[in-house]
Amino acid sequence: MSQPSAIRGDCKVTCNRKLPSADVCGELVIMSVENDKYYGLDQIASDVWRRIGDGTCLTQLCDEVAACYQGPREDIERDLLRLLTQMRDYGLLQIHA
Amino acid sequence: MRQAYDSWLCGWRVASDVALPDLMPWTGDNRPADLQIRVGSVPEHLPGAVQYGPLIQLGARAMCRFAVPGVATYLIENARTVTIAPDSDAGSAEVRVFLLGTVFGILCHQRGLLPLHASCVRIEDHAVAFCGPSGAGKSTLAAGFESQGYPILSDDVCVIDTAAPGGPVVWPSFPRIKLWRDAIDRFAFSTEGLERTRPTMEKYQVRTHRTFDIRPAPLAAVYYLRETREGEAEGISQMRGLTAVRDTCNSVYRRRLGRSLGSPEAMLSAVGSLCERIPILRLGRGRNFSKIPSMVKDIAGMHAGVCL
Amino acid sequence: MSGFYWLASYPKSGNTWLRLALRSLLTGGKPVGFDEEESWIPIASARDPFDSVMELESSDLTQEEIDCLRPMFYIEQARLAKQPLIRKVHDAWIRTRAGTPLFPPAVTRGAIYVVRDPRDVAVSYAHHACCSMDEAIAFLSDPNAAFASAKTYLTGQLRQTMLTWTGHVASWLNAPGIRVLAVRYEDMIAHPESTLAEVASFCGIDAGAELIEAATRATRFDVLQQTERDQGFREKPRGMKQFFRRGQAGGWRDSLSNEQANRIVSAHGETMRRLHYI
Repeated sequence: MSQPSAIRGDCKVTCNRKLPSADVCGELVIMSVENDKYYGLDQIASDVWRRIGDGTCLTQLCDEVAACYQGPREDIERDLLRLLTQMRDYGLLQIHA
Repeated sequence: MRQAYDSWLCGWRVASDVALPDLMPWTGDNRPADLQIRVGSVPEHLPGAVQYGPLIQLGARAMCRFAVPGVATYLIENARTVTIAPDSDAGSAEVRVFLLGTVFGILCHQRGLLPLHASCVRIEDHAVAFCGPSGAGKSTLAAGFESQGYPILSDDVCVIDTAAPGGPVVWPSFPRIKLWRDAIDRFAFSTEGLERTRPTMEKYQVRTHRTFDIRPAPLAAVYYLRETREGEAEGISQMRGLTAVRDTCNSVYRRRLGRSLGSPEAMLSAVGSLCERIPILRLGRGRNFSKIPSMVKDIAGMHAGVCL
Repeated sequence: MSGFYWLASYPKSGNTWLRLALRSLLTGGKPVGFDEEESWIPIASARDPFDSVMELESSDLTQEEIDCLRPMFYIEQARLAKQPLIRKVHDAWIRTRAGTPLFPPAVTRGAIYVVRDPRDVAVSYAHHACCSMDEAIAFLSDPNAAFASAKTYLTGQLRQTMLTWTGHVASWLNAPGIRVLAVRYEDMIAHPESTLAEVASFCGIDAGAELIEAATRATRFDVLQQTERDQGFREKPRGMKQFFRRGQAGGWRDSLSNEQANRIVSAHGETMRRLHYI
């Protein structure tokens, strides 16, 4: 498992589009067929997931998210990075250097 | 050749070589059979089939072979024909148990219906389903409803059409509850004349033809039944989002097989649309079933007189 | 490659402690919460996974039929998994009616067999099953002893054939064609870190001294007792006061009469000598 510090601004983030998902009352539920597990994304995480779509670079994603949510930029960046790392560890998305 | 028995199974006309006393007789129109059940031989290997699990082969053109050692082998073709190769008597209860179990589940998946591993009862004009792990008491609770005059729509396999116009609808399956000896004793049923599911097992088939109603019913709620742990509160709580979807997915009858027969996407989307429209509730019950009458009363009260 | 590590033991022999310690180890030495489903090491005889993998209802099968299908179930489960699986086991290492090992050697990466002085087992079992010491002693000597063997209602677990205590120990320690690591409960208590390190290395888990220490700290008996007080323990049978009760070796001296202890020694003496309990 690589550390979050290995993720840089020019990293490209892509969702693992092969995973089936269902939108239930604003919450996205994503299924990992391989592990037979289900992951629930709350409204903010669902929003981030949709913004990533077919791929975006980390800096751009940060800009978009920071523009939509209130709070100091560095807090938002830190929370976003934590979320992305977690989602990557669950196999929901890829982060390429 | 005209087949001897003409039965009703969740709206399908079933023509069969063997008597299927678990099912309602067909009382509908003169349409050709939707499903044919024959007794015959089943090949050891389906041509071009892949082995799906130890007991199942999946072949081309929606062919599916399912073997229960010592009981029977079943061949399902095109979701229209089932050939039974019994190890002994084709009409025996045990041959029907697996026909109306895994084979029925396969047919539902192939026909685009969502089978939940649930018992289901009719409260006024609504269907209320009870999922839960093995031993949670799904059938016992259904028997509790039945004994208080609420007809059952299904015992093991609750067949849902999630794409029905106007919202998810439950198709009644057949009027039979499988009950273990302890539950039979609890309801003071007599085992006299009851068929055992298997000759050496203390599990019986209780027929409920008298109260059965073949009309499909809109699904009002899905309860996830579970024995509470010590110190945990009994009662009802609503599940949302992830937990609702996860527990409902895990309650799909023959879930893994269904994903192979259809697709994981289709199953998740069917479950997702169900969870978005129907309350999915957790129902904790205490250790013994002494509270069944009051559970029945409470749940019936919640769903009676509710206009959907 | 997949396959199983069986965490096998006669009931009440310290299986749960080892399971929790391994779980802490696999999650980086974290404390073990009792209410997290995720990283729980499940029991091999759970009914629902069997039904799911075999695609039928085991409640429609006889106990003998289920036993005959269980080897196929494990082979299929191993085939479906990408990583090694760890399962708790209370069954004896037996063969099915067809002569096939219940736990197929072909998908067995190894078995860790936890064994405990049967005098302590009897005392612990009496608390677990809410029965008398004499009944517990009789259970240990019952060749037909089994868990989840009810025939008139459904249980969440498949029947587990235990044999006698001696029969259970012999079945695992002499199981042909598999690697077995015997772990004495008493050693586990006295030297938890070295025991856990030995188990980890047997299972191919790469764990440094720091991680071993953290996992041991997270699963110290008083910590588990406190967690049980705070969160409850799901595997505790109803009526039993506390699952993590004493966690001691030799506690039988306070609970068994001489005559009762001698009864156990005379029934299981040979195996007890083999394991240096007498």
